[in-house]
This record gives sequence, structure tokens and C-alpha cells, in this order.
Amino acid sequence: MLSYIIKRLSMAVPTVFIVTLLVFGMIRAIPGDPASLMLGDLNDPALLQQMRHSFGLDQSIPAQFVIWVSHLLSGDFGMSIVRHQPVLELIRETFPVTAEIVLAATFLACVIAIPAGLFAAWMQNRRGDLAVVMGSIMLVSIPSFWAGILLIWLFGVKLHLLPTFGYQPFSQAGWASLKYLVLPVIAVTLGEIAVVTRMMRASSIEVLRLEYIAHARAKGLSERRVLLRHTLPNAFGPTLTVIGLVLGHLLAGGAVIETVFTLPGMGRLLVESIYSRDYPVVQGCLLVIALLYVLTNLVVDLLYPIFDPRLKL
Amino acid sequence: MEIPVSPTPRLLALRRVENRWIHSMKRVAIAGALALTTALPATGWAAAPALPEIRFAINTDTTTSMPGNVLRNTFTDEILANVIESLVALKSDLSVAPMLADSWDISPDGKQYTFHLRHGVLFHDGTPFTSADVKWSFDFFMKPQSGYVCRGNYDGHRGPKVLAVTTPDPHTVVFDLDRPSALFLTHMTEPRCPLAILSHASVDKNGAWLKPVGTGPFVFSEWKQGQYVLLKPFAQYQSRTEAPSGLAGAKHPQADVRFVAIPDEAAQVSALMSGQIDVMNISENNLPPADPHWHVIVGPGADPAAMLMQTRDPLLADVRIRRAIALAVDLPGVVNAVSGGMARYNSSLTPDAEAFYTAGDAVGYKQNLPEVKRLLAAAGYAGQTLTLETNRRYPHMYSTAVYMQSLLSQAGINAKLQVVEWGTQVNDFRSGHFQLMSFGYSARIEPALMYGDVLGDKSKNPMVQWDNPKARALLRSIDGVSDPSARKQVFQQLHQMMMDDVPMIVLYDSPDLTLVSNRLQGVTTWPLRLKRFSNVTKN
Amino acid sequence: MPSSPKRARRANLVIGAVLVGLLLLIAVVNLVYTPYGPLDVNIHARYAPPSLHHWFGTDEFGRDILSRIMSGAGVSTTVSVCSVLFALLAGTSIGAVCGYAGGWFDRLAAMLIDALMAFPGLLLALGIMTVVGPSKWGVVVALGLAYTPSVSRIARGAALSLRQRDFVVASRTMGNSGAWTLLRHVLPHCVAPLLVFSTSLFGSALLAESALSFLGLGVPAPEPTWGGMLADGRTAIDQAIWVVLFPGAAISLALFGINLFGDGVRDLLDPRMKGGM
Repeated sequence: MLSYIIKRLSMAVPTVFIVTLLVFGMIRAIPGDPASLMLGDLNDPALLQQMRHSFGLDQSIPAQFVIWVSHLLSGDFGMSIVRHQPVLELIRETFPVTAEIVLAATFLACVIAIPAGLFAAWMQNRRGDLAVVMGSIMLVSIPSFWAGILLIWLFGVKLHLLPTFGYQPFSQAGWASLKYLVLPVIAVTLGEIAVVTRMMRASSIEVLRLEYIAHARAKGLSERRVLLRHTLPNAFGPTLTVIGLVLGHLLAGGAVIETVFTLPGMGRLLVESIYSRDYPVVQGCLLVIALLYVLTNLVVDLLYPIFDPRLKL
Repeated sequence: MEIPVSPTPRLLALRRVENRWIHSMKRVAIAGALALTTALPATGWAAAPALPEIRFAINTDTTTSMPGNVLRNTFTDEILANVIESLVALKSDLSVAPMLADSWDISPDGKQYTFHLRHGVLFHDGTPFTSADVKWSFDFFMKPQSGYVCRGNYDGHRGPKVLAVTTPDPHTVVFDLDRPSALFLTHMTEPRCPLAILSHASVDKNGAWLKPVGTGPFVFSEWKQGQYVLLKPFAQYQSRTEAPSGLAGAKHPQADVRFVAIPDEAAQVSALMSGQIDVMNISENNLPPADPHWHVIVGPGADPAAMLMQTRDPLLADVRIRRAIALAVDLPGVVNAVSGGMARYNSSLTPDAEAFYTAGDAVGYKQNLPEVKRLLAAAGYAGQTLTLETNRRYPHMYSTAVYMQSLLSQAGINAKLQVVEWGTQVNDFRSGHFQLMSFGYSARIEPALMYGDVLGDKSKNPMVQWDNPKARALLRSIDGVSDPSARKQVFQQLHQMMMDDVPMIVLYDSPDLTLVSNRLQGVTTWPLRLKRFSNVTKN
Repeated sequence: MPSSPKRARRANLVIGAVLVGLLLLIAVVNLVYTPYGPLDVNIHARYAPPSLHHWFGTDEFGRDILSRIMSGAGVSTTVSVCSVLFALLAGTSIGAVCGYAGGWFDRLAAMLIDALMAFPGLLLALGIMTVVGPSKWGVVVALGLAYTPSVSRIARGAALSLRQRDFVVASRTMGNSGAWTLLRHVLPHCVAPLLVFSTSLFGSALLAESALSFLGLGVPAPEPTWGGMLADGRTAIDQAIWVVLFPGAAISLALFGINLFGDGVRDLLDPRMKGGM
């Protein structure tokens, strides 16, 4: 088991390295640099030089890369050019917001989707199944940002039930902070439900076709027992992979939802930093996202055998 | 008591038509107030402090507490304008007025300035202000390690070279320059890099920056990075006696001031409506409906919006085509539509709120479609497409571009919109890589500084817009001429030359809009936009 | 009910095909006719609610929303189809070659592909768009590149599994070059899984293009895109909800049709799923 983990982690290292290279090169390929952007229409070449020097931009790109990586290895993600705060601190402030929404949405989606998928498989090709399948296709077709805008309109502007933007962390506002999360979480959950339902349904169908289910039924076990004790755990494995994929995908796609709901999350930090050419922040955020991706996949891979005893590590 | 000197766009009462919206916004405000009061951070800044506290929303926190530092942003300037002072200060018509210097003498050759300093002024730490502090501050800023962005104004690169600063007595300081300079005093008042007079208590024993200990009406009291800056009134502030105007004149601090970082403008509006903040800058498309609890102050600005034309482009190199473009559109109409009636057409780079504005500056282009036809035909324009670059980040630039593109097309000039991201547009501006561009300059405090950035040799500096050696020479000729009427004459001449050359079409000066809670009294605007909180009271 | 699953599947395919057909029809019709010009500004009809003159109302500049939605259909379809084609071409070539070649070349390529897949597709596209600047073909290339890794994974998987098969080995023994064997024997077997994948890819591309336009990095204004219309209308939802209602509905309907159609195609081609959907 341990050797497997080590093997997987060591495979991740070159991946992450390639990602850092890509990230570094891409952001610098964008026309414009933070110093000239901050200077705007001011015609002061000496000042431009001064600023570029203070941001470390006057060195060659390979030199900048080496400096960045060497700082990374000692845990220093650098300093935001625009905000003059440590990048790690900015990420520490914004990541929990993104994570809160993503985790809450995933949890909610699973709570709804897993029973729905199981139910649909059990009612396969009968009306219940068709309803679930059609419903999930409809849900997955609704873009989350459109759903978000309509939710804001309905619950915020028309009904005045919930705030339309902003965020308060749980540590500061307690239960009151939840009202900022309701609408974004709903918007994100809608699409997720569909994906998880379909996977759960497909794998449940597979399991239900297996001999030992028929055997269990013949033994006289109640349908409920058959479903919950025998089908669900075995069908969950592939679904877990999908959940992992979805989780990774959401961490990245946070930018759109956070823009709609004006949440101070990492996705929005990333997009704004791209616009202001805040290189250290962009590099740091993308690196963190890539690492999370790799980590999530690893965790999912490790959990999979728990649900599928056929797999041996 | 801020009465702009020249005729300005009238202050408008703003209203929305839909009553439903007014009603719903009230309910949103209540909901928002409930939400925000239950969700306030535990630091307790919402609890009522001893002095009333004025709260001003800024988009992002300041990045440094040192004036003029290379790390600064606009909010650094705004906060510190209340904390530090220079020898002189700007009035609301952007003319120079006394501040820490009561008066000054300029030698006949213009190379020596003798400042007679105020008596009885104290720094925030209680120590008295003397000429030694002027010298100390100047030396501090001129050291490369300080990171001051305007050393060029005093070391000969962008201004005269200061040869020596001497202090014959505690209330006199003498600056010796290598040449006369009309802008020597003006440079000291530059918002981005004021020549702030600081106590040496602003730095530690190794010379590293601590915090700004100045002579201004407010003390830099508390700074929670990323969140807020708190200023407290300086109890021993010695106010001047002249009427307040701009950053000059009498200042009487009445309340604490907290600069709160709230990134999103809509969130700022909501915070103001629920009473969490009292004043904020606002843009035209976010204005809330009229309400007894708040009002909007509209004042003239000094940031010219313009449509640039790349004179090195093969097509646009022909002045007849550029002139045709200038005459093809009803410019006052476009300005009115884009600014919602809050600004008016100003064809000159000199803002109409400035003391230097003359009748000559008011001469603009008048739409003349037959002349456009004639010019296009003479130039041999055959319907080639011209790209008009703009961005979505600044709605005014975008609206201007949309209207201009449509109206130009109607006049027979085939313009096509190219929307790019703001960072890319700045890059294109600085490299000259565009044909037409909808742009907005930031304010300069003197017309010579604006003309200086716009004029130049395009082959050496692609950022300049107007390549006219005669105009450059004319501008340089008043480098040492301080006499305002002589300068006015030259600016008027430059404007006339620019109208003939048509390197760009200047449209209007972006107005300054402030949304203020009615609990505050005494909030005024001025063209440089920096909020001044002395003379402001809160119930 | 034995006939029901087949009927249900057929119904899905039909509904999906109808919707997709409608999308393509509108995309084509918009080239010759729209009620108003999608770029025509009308200062007197700003934010007009839906009426007989403007079935879907007008936007901030008085432009007819129905016309802009039709125009947007053209843009969205073009971009999605082209980016999927790009990904198919690039991904299949890379994946099939790698899977077939095997050895260190394959392992290195697999590592590179994994690295690219650690990059969330939208962010990769976002990064490329910021470098390239908003442009229609930039979006095609950006999305195509973003999807290439997943396509190549599938192609590689198929090629790998086929490498050792009899007919492939026979072909090589007979003296055929690797390239010819690849083309003639391996590639055709990649088609089925790729076809199924590309139908879902088309939906993803449409959604991604809308998201990019929403963020301001897709096909640039003023060319109408559904995502861009959503972004523009966001600030006006209190006074003009129709500006976001109709473009979003258009995206949803299009995606719904594509998803249904894709499901139907998958059912037809994927024998494993015969029992279900």
C-alpha cells in the first residue's frame, strides 16, 4: 500500500513540474506586464524601469523561473505585485471560500444523486427511471452561471430573501454566514447532481445484473436490503471516481460562479490576477489547483479498492 | 464651500423611473442591513466609537504607507493626502497655494526659491516643524533606497536639478536650482508623489520606513493590511485661515476616518445603503435611485477621455482623413449620451475646471458632413476598414466606442470595433499598436504635464500621440516661465495647433461622482478626486 | 414493458436530433435573415420589454435580442464544431501514434498528457485566450487544445489495446509500414469510442465557449455570443430580466438537445449499455 502511494506521488512530481513550467511561460506570454499596466498612460521610462526592477521583472525569464522555483521549494510563493501581500496569504484567505462552496455542493449533490441513481437503476426503463434520466439531462444542460443569475434575480431582487452578493466567513458570522452560500451552492449543485446520478445509475445497473444479486433476492432478502447492503456499496466505486473528477473540475471552474456571486474565492482571485498581470498570484493559484487535482485523483484512486475488493493494491 | 471656478456641468438630482425599483431597493437595504449587522467581523469596528467615525469605501487596500513609494496605488495617495502636507498645496482650480510655507520669494533668475515657513506647526508626535525637517524630508526622498517615484522631478531628469537645500534659520528654507522651472512648486503637490514634509520619526534608527508622521489634519493611526486604514484627528492641528479649496486652506478635522476595502462597487452601494459606510466613489451606471438617506455629488474631473488616432498608420497619416473623422460625428451629443448629461464636450487637453482654461480652449470641432465627404474624396478614401480598439472594463470607453463606430459608419467612414482586454489595450497604447482607440487619460495637475506626455517623437517613444516639433519647442519655451497669463497663452496656442493637426479627438473630462450618506455634512468634490475629510462632520 | 426501453431510447434520439437540427437551422438561417441587424444600435428602444416589435425585447443599446440570439447560434455552433474537430484531429493523431508506438516515447507522451490534464480545461483555454486576445479562432484553438488531451487518451487507449491484436501483427509481418498499419487497421477501431466521446465534447465546447464569453475572454464583443449576452445583461436584471432569460434559455435548449442526441448515439453504438441508457 505504502509503495503504491509513493509510486503514485513520485509520478505526480514530473507532472507538477511540467505544470509549473507551463504556468510560468503562459502568463508571461500575455501581452503587457504588471509594471506598465500600473503605470497606465504615464510617460516615465525611468519609473517603469524602477518598478520592473522592484518586481523582479528586469531579469531574464529563465532567471525569473529559477528564482521562483527556488523560493517555492522553501515554501515561499512570492509577493503579489498588485496587492503587496504574500501570495500564500492571499490563497489562504480565498481558498476556503471556494472550498466551502465546492464541498457543500458536492455533498448536497451526492445526498440527492446517489439515492436517485440507485432508484433509477432499480426502476430501470420504467417511468421512475425515465423521469430521473430526463431530469438529470435537463439539469446538466443548464449552465451554472445562468442558473446563478436567475437565482439572484428570483431570491435576491424579486423576493428579497437572500443577499445577492458578498461573503462572510463562518468563523466571523457563524450561522448567518450560510445565507451567502445558499444560492451559489444551489447553482453549482444542479449540474453536479446530473453527472453523479448518471454514473450511479449506470454502475448500479451493472451491479444489479450480477448473479449474486439474483442470488440474494432468491434467498428472500428484502429489496431494501438488497439495494442498500449489496448494491450501493459496490456501485459506489465508479461513482467515487466521477465525484473526484467533478471535485477537481469545480475547483478550477470556481471562477465563473465566484464572478456571478461576487465571492472572494480563489477562482476570482485567479481571473483578476490574470487581468492585472499579477504573475506571482497567477502562478501560485494555478500551481495550487494543479496540486489539488493530482491529490484528489490520488485520494480517489486509494479509496477505490475499499469499494471494489476485486482490486488489489 | 467648493464652488468650481468655471462653468461646470450642473449638479443633477438623479432619479430612476421605476417606482418598483425604489421600493425593492429599500427592502434590499433592510435585508442587507440585517445581513451585514449580523455578519460583522468580531473586531468590533461596528461598535460606536468615542468620536463619530466616517467610513469611506475603497476598492482595494493601500499597498504602502509611504507617500510616493514605488509600491503605491491610488488609495495610498487618497489616504495620505489627509495625513501629510507639503510646502504648498493645490486649490480646487489646481493653482498653487501656501501650506507649510506661508510665502516664498523667487530670485529674478528663477533659480532660487526662499520659503518662509509657518510658525507653531507640530508633527503628529508633538515635535515642532522646522526648516531642518524640510531638508531631512527632501534628502530622504531623494535617496534611491526610499523608492520615491518622483526623484526625476528634482534631479534634472524631468525637472530642474536641486543643487542645494539650505536652512538659514528654523523658519526659512532655500532651494537652489540649476535652471528656472515653472513647475517646481507644482511638482511638490503631485498627488502620486507629494514632497511630503515628514518627521524623522517616520523611519527607524536604520532609516527603514515605519509610518508617516506628518503635519496633516489626521494621524495615521491603524492599518490592518488588506482590510482598513484608520485615521484619527490630530488634536494639535494648526489650521490655516484661508477658505478651504482643494487640499489648501483651512482644515478642521472633526471625526475619525476609516478607509474600508470593499472590492465590488455594488457591494459598496449596498454597504452605504445599510449604513455600514458613509461615502464612496461611484460610477454612472451604478447610481441608486434618489432617497432621503443619501445624495450624489457630481463635480468636474480632470481626466480627459479621448479617441486616439495613430498618425503613423498609413491610412490615418493623412490629416484629411483624421479631420474627416473629427467632423463626422456630433461630438457634444456623444459626450452627453456617454456621460448621462454629467459632462460636456471639451476639445482641449486642459480640463475645463482648471484655472488655465480659456475661451480658446473651448473651441471644438463642429459636425460638418458635407466637409467630411469632401475631405474623404480628396484623400482618396475608398471605404477601407479602420479598427476602433476599446475594452469592457471601463464602461465609458466602451460606450464611446460603440457610439463612435456607429456614427462614423453612418458618415461613410468604415469603422469596426475591436474589443480587447484592458491589459492588452494598455500594452497597445504604450506600443502605438492601434489605429483608433477609445481611451481615457488620468489627470495631470498642470496642462504642461499633459501636453508633455502627449507630445513627442513617435519614432523614439511610441507612447506619444502628437508628433509636432514646433509644438514641442513651444511647450519647452515656457519651461522656466511661471507667469500664469503667459502660460495660458501658450496652452491656447497649443490647443489651436492640436485642433489643426488632429492627432486625437479629446471628448470630455470624466466627472467625479460621489455617493454620500446624508449623515455627513461638508463633503465636496474637486477635479483631482482625492477625498478630503477635514471639514466633514457626521451626525 | 419490453418495448418501452427501445421506444424511450428512440424518442430521446429523435427529440435530441430535432433540437440539434433546430440549432443548426437557426445557425444557417441567421446568415441570410434576422429580424433586425444584431449590431444595430437604437438609442430610443433601450431595454424594451418583449413585444410584437421585439419578440425577446432589446438590450442596453437597443439591439434586438432575438436577432442576437440567432446570430449567437451561428457563432456558438461554428466555434463548438471547429474546436471539436481540432481536438479530434490533433488528439487522435497524437494518441494513436503514441499508443501504437509504445515504449519510452509513449510513456513520455503519457506523462505530458497527464500534466496537461492536471490543468483544468477552462483555465487552459482562459490562459490561451488571454495570451491570444479575444478572437473567434483563438477560442477554437484554445478549446481544441484543451480537449486534445482527453481525446488523445481515448485514442491511445484504443490503439494500445489493438497493438497486439492478430490482424495488426499480421499486417506488420507482411511488411507493411507502421504508418500504413496505423491508418488502415488501428484508426478505424478508434472511431466508435471517439464518435461517442465527440458528441459529449460538442456539448462541453458549447458550454465552455459560453463560459469564456461570460468572463469576457471568448469571442469578442460586439459580435453576439450567448455567454456574452449573459455577461452584459447581468447588471440590468432588476429592470430587464429578458436580457439574460432568453440567451440562457437558448444555451440550455441547445445543450439539452445535444445531450439527448449524444445519449441516443451512444446507445446505438455502445453494445455494453444495451440494457439501459
